[in-house]
Amino acid sequence: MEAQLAEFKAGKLTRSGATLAPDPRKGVVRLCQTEDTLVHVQWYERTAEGRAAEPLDDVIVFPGEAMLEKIPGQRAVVLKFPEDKTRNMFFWLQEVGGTPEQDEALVAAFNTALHQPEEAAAAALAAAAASAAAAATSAGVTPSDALEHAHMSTAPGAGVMQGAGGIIGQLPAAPAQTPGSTAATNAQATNLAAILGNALAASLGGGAAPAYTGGGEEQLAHSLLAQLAAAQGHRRRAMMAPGPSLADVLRPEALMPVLRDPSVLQELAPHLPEEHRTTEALAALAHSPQFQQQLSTFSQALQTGQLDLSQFGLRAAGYSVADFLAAIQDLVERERQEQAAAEGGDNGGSGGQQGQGQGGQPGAGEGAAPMEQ
Amino acid sequence: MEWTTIESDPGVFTELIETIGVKGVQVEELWSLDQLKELSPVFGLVFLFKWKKEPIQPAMTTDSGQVFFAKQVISNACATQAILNILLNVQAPGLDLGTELSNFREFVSDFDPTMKGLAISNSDLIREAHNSFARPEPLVPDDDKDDEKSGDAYHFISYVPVGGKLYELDGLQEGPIQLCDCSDDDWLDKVGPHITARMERYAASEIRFNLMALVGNRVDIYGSRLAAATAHRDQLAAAAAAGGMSDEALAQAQGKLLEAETEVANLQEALAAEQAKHRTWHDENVRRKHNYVPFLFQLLKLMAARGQMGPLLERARRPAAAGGGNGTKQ
Repeated sequence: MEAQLAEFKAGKLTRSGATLAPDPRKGVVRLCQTEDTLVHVQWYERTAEGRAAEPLDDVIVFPGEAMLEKIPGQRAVVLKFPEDKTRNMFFWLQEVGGTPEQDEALVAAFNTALHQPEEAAAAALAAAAASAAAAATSAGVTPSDALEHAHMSTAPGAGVMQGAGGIIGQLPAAPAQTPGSTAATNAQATNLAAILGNALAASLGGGAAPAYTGGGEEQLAHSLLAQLAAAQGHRRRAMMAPGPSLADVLRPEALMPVLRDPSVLQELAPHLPEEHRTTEALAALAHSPQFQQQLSTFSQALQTGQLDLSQFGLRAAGYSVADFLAAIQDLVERERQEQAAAEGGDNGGSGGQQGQGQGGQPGAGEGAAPMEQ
Repeated sequence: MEWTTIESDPGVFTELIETIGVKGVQVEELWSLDQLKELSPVFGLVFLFKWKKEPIQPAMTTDSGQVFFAKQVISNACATQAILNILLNVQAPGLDLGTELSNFREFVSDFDPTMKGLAISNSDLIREAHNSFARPEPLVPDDDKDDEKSGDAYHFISYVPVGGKLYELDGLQEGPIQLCDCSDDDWLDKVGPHITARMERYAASEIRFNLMALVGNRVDIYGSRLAAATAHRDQLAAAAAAGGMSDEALAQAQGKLLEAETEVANLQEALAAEQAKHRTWHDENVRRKHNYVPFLFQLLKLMAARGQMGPLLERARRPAAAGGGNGTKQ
């Protein structure tokens, strides 16, 4: 899935010697961001039905590598690569009735999107979602109608057409609400959360989209938008789930009480280096920069959705550390229930842990709970 | 042939050198050139700094001649290469290159600097030793690759005396740069101003740098000094115990004995501290090479089973500290 950032109608200009010769074909210059966060500048041919399926030109541009400039005295622009002139691309504008101001605005918007793709993607997403949600306030509007509305509207402030394009996955059914009511606002937030959730999942390229059901969607939507908006500049930084890192949560103070327990050492020993299977070594580990660093790296992979947690049997609701920890708790609970069920017919065994109830006992545990490896 | 990034840490480099088969060397981090007095014998210095990939201004270089100089071929290998540029130039009684590295030096002795660099990057011995310090997959952060693309890299420059002259060995230059004449005894004094000049240049543009010294293995050195001091002390003790001295002579002998005892005690302490440091380095390397993800999962499952997830969840649900709370990058 791609995020469309900007597009404008233009034909190609090809260089022949010292002059630029216009290619008569109608076309579209399109700026988009693919899942791997790379930004592409593409040129498509255009017919009455719209843009062709595949671009005839497709170049990857890194932020700062190129900018669009208006060619003085002509309705033409150049995508300029200061470090390599041979890469310069020239286009003649085909936007109808363009005044010089509109052309300048078009160039400015394109450059903004080129240098801050995440913000542009977020703006496009928000604009499309807002249009979709607004369009859905009249009863009986179907999701596809809403999409059309979004596509035809011009994003506020930008001189460039921003289509809803391929960002939006499955739109949930638009509820019939009257505008201005609290229910409508909540519905919009729910829609937005679902849309953003799908977009986040899609752009992170992970497996199933996290299921955003239940309370807190509005906050989630806000925080996700904030994340999208904040993720700018560093071209490889993917979107991060909010919240502290695992390194912050598993500070030595939090771990030491557990690690001091000899039975814990016994259980964890197989996963420790052979020469570090002592309580002192465990304590040293918890305080060590090497452990902090591995936690930090793991957490970054987790929070940017690069980890497939299902391979560990975990079902996480999202990509934050809290979601991860909750998923582990959930897994342990499921394993306990499975074990209880398996031993179901066994009445009052040897004072084992099976009978201890499903909710998990708070407080310091004594002895090792049965764990499935 | 892949070379991974490794941490620029004296403990890492010391064990890396040992893994290649070299004996009698360790690496120390320097924060001040004054430290060098205590660290003798010093075989060479490595100056490390972060730099933007700008075109290198070619310096006046000489033909390698007697100097072992390898050009930097692979960016990730540059630390190891800078260390080899020193080790393969040192002739010192306490330093044993080991069979494999000695053979390597023999094998490449006629190669030009570029070929030498290529030979290093193709050496299984060296590459495998280097890569053994990489962080276990899948924990290599994307950030490392970011540095490459953003144009930043670490650059290592070696300083080493060879055949009466002080050389600067910069893997990105065409050959060794001759700085001045020197002897084994005064080269550290002579290298000082060059290092200081570099430090000042980088401090002005806020470029981070590190200085490391390749020195004799201090456990060995303290060990032999302790043996000598103990023998000396025993001798003095025997002499003082032997009768037939005047009171004055006895007082003197006992004074000397006391000095010798103090010397022995100091050296024992120094040796113990040095051994502890090597143990710490070793423990850190064990941790660096171990993948703690399975441990992490088992630990968290264990805590969940004991009903101790609560406080962790609570902490995880608080908003992150400013700056993303992502932990500090090395």
